[in-house]
Amino acid sequence: MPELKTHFIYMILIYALFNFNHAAAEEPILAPELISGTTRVSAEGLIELAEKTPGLLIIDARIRSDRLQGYIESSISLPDVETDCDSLAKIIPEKNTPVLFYCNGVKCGRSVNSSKIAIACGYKNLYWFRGGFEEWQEKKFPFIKS
Amino acid sequence: MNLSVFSIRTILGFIIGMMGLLAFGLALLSGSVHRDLVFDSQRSMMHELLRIEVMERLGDLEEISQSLGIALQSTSAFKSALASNDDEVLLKLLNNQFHQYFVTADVIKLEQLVLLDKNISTIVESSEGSVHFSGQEQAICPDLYQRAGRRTGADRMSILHELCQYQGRPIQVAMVPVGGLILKGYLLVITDPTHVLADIDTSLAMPLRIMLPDNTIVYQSSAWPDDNNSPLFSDYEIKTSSGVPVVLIRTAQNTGVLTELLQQARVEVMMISGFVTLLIVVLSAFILRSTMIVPLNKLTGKLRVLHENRSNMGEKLEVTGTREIHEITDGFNDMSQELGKLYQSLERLAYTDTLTKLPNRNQFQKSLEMSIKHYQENGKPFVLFLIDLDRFKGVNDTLGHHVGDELLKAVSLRLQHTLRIEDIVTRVDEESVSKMGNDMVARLGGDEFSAILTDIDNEEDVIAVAEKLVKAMEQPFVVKEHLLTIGLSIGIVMYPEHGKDMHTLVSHADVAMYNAKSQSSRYSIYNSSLNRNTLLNLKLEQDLFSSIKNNELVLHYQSKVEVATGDVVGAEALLRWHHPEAGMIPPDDFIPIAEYTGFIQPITEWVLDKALEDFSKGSVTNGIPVSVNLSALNLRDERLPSIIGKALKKWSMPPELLVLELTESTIMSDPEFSVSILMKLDAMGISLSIDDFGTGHSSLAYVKQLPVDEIKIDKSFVKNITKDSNDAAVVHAVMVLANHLNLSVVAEGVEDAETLEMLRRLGCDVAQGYYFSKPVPLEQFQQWLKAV
Repeated sequence: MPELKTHFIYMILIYALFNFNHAAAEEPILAPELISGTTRVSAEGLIELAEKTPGLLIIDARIRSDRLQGYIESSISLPDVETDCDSLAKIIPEKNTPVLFYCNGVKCGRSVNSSKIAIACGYKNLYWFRGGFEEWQEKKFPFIKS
Repeated sequence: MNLSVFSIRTILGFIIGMMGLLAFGLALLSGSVHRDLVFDSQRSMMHELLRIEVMERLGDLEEISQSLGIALQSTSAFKSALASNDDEVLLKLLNNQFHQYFVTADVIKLEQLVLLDKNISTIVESSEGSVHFSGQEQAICPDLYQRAGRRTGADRMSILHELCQYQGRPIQVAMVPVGGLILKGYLLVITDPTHVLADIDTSLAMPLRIMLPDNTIVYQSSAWPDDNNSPLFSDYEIKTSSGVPVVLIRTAQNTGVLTELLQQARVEVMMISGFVTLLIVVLSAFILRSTMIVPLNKLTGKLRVLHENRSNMGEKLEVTGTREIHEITDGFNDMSQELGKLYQSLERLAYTDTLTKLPNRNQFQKSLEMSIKHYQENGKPFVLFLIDLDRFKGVNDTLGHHVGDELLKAVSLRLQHTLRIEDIVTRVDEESVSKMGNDMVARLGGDEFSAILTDIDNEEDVIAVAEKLVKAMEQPFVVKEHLLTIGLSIGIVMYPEHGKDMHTLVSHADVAMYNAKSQSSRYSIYNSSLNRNTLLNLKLEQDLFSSIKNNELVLHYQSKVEVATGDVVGAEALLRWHHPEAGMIPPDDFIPIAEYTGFIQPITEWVLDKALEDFSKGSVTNGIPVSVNLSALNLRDERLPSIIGKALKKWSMPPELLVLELTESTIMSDPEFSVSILMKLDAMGISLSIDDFGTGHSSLAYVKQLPVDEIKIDKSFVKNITKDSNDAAVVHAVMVLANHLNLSVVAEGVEDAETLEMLRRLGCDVAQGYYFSKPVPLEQFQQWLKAV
């Protein structure tokens, strides 16, 4: 079915073009560069952090359907919409526990939300992986896809 | 090349044809270029499709390998075996993978699984795998090992993929980190890429061939085409990360259909370009035709028409066409108009008599031709009047040419008025002639006029018109204080009764006119019985002018003999004309014509000259005098004495040897003038003789007053002298009186001995006649002289 394939390629091209235009027209909401009260890390930073920090908790702030595409090994799913001091307390009883938040990427605000909630709840040792799953995949780090 | 021999149409046709050929050639050339371009684009399209497919397949393979690697290590059995370094369990776990679903269902073709430690040294290699990897890693996948070895820190956690060669076939190696986020080692998942790549032929619907760099064929679709069909190939080469080629993937497409399509397209393009070229040719031919060829043809056609009929000159020519054509046409029109005007004025001059403004002889001939043509078309007869003025020469001679000219003008006006054609001045163009009828009055030259009258077809009317003309001309003309009366002679011919063609008609009109003159009637209508002499005269008149030049005139001599002694005492020169057609013409027939035409003057001079030449040689003529006859007209010429003087001098002749013979009427026509001339001649010592004495009205009493030396008694008296006593008495009386007046007497017409005897008895001095000798040429005369 080469025709279908060709059509598909065209459609992608057109869609990309459309999206690019769309993006150019409307400035997407990007995550802030920094969130005070958190330490921002990259994908490599995450790996180094995990190596150095045995009790590190990695929180996946994405909703469940996004997580189906794959997730960083050993991460715990807690969508930002479900995040509050209680739900956090169930997972992280100690306020000094090192915790890292990530979501899809720079355009995803969920890890930002979750981080802010965690700060508000009084967590002290917070890390924020701003690049999220997109950066992870791009750098070809292994992920788990169930 | 001389292009001037071709017409503009040929040259343009040639150029357009060449352009058409060029367009055809371009279409052919562009066809092949087009084909190459199509092949190129098809090839690059195939290449692109192939690239996308390969990337996609390899990507899929990488993903599956990666998933397999992660899934394998995420089992607790694996984790604990790894943690406890239980190689046996690990080997078992690895071997188990060769029996998993995606391997058994041919989703991937798993070749080998190898577990490495953090330092990429082999821990365990599956024994199920078909690739013997352990110990040869650097030889099989040097790039992968180099890349992996260079990494530090977190980078070591990223998954690496590499295509490598193993025993003449490609293998796909995925290096998946083991240990979650904390690196514990690597798992090499080695698969056969050919397996997935071979599937591309079905998805692309194109036959596929997978080759190693040394052209060893690893895979080939069953539908791989023959090389004979010159298929279109497209290659895609997969290289290792350091750029070493590993696999070449080639697709093929049968060009048969494409070539056929191209051929079809080419035919279409050719047809369209041919049609367009034809359209352009037709269009440009049409444009050129209307802007150049048609106007040029019009111009050349007009030139041709003008060449045939100059009277169309000056007609404006309107043409459509380009600016240049318009300029040429304007120039042509200007020139044509100027030439037309010039031509008209020339024609007017050529066909008009400048003095009287009447049509001239040329126009007369043209009109006559027209009238004849008109009759042949419409059956309309006409009458031709030939009008000659009498006594006009006298006016010219006595009153001068200016009076003569004015008289001619007045005559012209009166003729026109009488014939009611005063409105006709000049007819130049044939059109107006046919419109207005052919009635005209023309001056043919000198005092000769002509009129052509239509609408008359019976003799009564013709006579009425002639009478009217005669009557009109009888009225005197007042010219410059002179009251002049002139007469006219009219010759009339009617067409078609009196001649079918112009020449006959005019000559018959001449005959009629001369008839009128000779009969002293004013007009004469031609009829065939008019004496032939008139015609002969007409002919002689024309020929006489050339007679001297043509040596047709000769002198004959007749002797004068002394009656008493029989001695030759003189000779009379008698003129003869050897006409080339009519033969010998006697002087009686042509002298009147010479007198009438004025040609008598040169004839007389010739005769004098010739006679004096002949008799200047005394040895041959015994020194006897020669007699020459003079005309009345000679005596009116006051140059006569000097002419004779010169002739005598020329031939060194004593004047006593020249005798001039004159008739009585010659002297009587203008006695006073004649006498003065005769006195002069006598004074020169020349002898004078009265010829044909007795026939005129003169008397001896009158002759007595003249300086005359001799009288010649007319032959009519001498002829019957022996039979008629009256004649004898007259001759006797004349001789007595002549003796008394001291005149010598010559008797003419002596034809027999009796007459001579009678003359002797009567006391005649000299006799002349056939009895002695008839007039003979000089040579015979000399011989005769010797004989006597």
